[in-house]
Amino acid sequence: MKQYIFLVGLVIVLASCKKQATSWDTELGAPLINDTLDLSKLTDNNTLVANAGGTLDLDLTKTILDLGLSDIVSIPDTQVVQIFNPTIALNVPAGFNVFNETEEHTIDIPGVQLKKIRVFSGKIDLKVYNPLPTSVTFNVTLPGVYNNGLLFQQSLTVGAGDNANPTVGSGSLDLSGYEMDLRGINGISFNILQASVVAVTDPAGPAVSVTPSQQFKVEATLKDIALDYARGYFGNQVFTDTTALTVDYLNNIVSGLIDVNNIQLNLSLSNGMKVPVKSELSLIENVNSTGNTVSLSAPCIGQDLYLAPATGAWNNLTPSVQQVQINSQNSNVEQVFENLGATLNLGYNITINPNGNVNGGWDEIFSTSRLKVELHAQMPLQLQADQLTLADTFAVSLNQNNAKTHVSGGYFQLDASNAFPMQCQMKLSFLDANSQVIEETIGDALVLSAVAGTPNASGMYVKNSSVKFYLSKTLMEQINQVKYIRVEGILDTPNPSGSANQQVSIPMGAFLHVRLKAKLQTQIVY
Amino acid sequence: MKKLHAIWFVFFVYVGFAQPLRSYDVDSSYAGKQLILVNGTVDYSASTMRNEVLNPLIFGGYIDSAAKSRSMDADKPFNTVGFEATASYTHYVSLKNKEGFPSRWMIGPTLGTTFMGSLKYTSDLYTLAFYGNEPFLGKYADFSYSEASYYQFQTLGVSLFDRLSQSSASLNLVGLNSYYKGTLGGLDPMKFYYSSEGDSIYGICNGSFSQLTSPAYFKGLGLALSGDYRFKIANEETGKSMSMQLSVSNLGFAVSNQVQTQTLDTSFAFGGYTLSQLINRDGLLAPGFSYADSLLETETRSKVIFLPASIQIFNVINTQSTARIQPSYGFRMILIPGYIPYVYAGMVTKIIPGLHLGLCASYGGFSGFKLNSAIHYNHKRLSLGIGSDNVIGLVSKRAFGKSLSIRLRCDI
Repeated sequence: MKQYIFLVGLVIVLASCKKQATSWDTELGAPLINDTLDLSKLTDNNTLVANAGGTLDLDLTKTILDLGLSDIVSIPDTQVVQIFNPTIALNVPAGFNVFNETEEHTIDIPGVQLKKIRVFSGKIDLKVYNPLPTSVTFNVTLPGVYNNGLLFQQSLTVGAGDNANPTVGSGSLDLSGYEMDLRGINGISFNILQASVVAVTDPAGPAVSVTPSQQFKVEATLKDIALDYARGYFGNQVFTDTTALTVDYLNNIVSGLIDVNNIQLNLSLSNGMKVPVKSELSLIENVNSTGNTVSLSAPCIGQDLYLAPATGAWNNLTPSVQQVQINSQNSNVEQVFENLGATLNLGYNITINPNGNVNGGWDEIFSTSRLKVELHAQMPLQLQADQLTLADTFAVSLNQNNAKTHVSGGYFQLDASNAFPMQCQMKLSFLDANSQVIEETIGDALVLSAVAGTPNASGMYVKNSSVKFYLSKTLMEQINQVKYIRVEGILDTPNPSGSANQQVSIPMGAFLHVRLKAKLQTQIVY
Repeated sequence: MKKLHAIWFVFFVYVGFAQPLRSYDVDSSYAGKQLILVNGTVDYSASTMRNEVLNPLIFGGYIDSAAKSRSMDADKPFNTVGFEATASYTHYVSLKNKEGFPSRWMIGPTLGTTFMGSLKYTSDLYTLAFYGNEPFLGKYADFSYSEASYYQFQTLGVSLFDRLSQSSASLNLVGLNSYYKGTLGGLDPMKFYYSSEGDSIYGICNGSFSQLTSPAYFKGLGLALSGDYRFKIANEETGKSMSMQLSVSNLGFAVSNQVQTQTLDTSFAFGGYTLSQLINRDGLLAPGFSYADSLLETETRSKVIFLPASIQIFNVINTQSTARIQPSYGFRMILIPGYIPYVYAGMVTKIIPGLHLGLCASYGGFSGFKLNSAIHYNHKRLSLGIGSDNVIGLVSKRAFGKSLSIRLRCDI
């Protein structure tokens, strides 16, 4: 019994000899971010341009509407079918002209009366059916359809068939460059495509019998037709829409104010089509992240603007233009922009031929014709920020096992060289899956404005700042619960003494150089 | 009174384990029909890393900053840590001569297991491991010529013993269980520079790491020779002769057909990611990007791996001697990185007939100066010894390792 107890005791002692984890504390540092933020992309594409004072102006052009020929007129895929049944039964010799017939076919384009078009691209597919027991040649021509003066013509020879199973022949022809006269045989109609078919039996074949029950058929299908010229009456078409211009980043503004001055908006309407146009700017409004909407109040809103047809031909087309000025003097445009909304809604109504067919069906649209509405904003990039708060939230996946090597604390250090005349107080919020704050850490200093700095070699004022964000031990113990990190920056534009905010202009070449590095207390565990 | 007890305890322990047991041997009986030898050693030691760091590294526990600091204070440009755990069993049976009597030769199976590893590292590597990279702000961290190796193998062989000369030789089949070898820096250095602002890291990286990737229990097979050659030398002053022994063990190799070697030879400069890289997860941050694949060249092939052979020469203590005190000295070398020639010298005292105590000073191996001790008891055909090559390490946190050996010899 004693031996048994000893053995059990020995097993328990040995089993309890489990190795304890080895651990020690160390400090690890690493650079994380090294980048320079500037406005070079915007200056490169001339969205921002330098003014005489060495500061930046916003020069933004946004096309709101741009219509071309294809938006006004389009030719649907159209199939033309021509059928011939002999009226009497007769025996025909070799090389006999079985039928010769020209027909008109209407292209279905509701509201539009086309008289002449030129095909930019597209094709015609031909399909012929031969019911005779000898081969037949089908000569298909499209009267009024020319390419460099040559009439459209296509011949298809198909072998012998019978009435129950006619032999089928097919072919396809590129129509690019063809001009089509759609006025019909009498020359005063519109949307008419003529087709002429001649069927001849094989000159070397046998004589065959033709009866009224035999059916000769030709199918011609216009496919994927795109135009580069159209003439006729293009109908009374209305284009109405509300376009949203969005600058998503502005949704990150959660509070605060900015003050902007001297905004100039220029709305340009250009009619490059030889069609009369009526336009109306129905709405300009700004909607911010809180849902607050500020609508533009200006004389141009709701006012009809008439644009005469363009003049000239395709190579010397002179559009008809209307300009509308919107500025601080004739509108509340400053309030619209100071609403700081990410969405700018613009509503418009464009009507072509507002008074019907007053041109006698002589509307013309060339490949170079455009009907455009452009918004051009020009103003100094000058603003005053008062506790303007930007916030953005990023999803993260942070996992560490405290029983293994893990970070127990530390801090992130942001070293910034700021050439913008703005200062920023930064805050990091660590949020759980329900977006509830687990912990917040506020930078222990401001990213200071360049107005408090000193000139660099280029003469630009630059201020260096160093900001630390401490990670507490408590936070690191809950780090696995952190699913989002919210970065918040409160912007101000202080004067040199820091006593109040002021209007500031953004200097040409302004930059913010940031270097973020980590200093992490790490417990090595194995 | 407590102090007296403590001193008595320490004295007892020290004296009790006095003598470098692994260098201690006795003559075997001429008449025995069988001879059984059992040896076991557990030894880890370091040149500058103290037990208060070593013990938690091996057995677990928290290494506090004071302990790290004391080992750091002892740091030299290059430092070593090594460990050795071996166990062996040999069973000789006597061969018979033509007359049917036991001959001078004995033969028998021998089997053993060995765990051995070493690390030679720079002071900077210790600093990086225990203090992080903060101490290197504005400095180079140089890890060049740091090396690590680890062997785990088992041997099974046959041994021949000459009871007349007390020499033996064995040929062993080697089964290699595990092998790791890593080097930092070689032809090119392995060093990093951490800018004084902490915003840039520059590195020149050169190194390699080898390991066995076979899933088999024995990942390599080979052969090894071990043996003891005993000879006498004469003392010119006294005219007496003295027995010396030359021992070689694990002189051999193993072949593995799956030795994976990863080599690194690159340089880099890193000053942080751009915001675009972070947001768009470009370049190094791209999903699926593997640092290891981009930096390491991996090759798997057959390779001959030489075992960490050891050679030692020492004087044999004559347990039959009437002398009260005998000198004890010797030399040992193990062919493994970081191990420096090990020498020891001291004396052995006969307490009572059959009971010997020894105390030596030693220098070398993976460590510096150490105090060795052992006790050996020899009664009739049984000989039992227990000792330590680092007796201070058994009780002190400030020492540089621990060591314990046992030896059993039985003539039947």
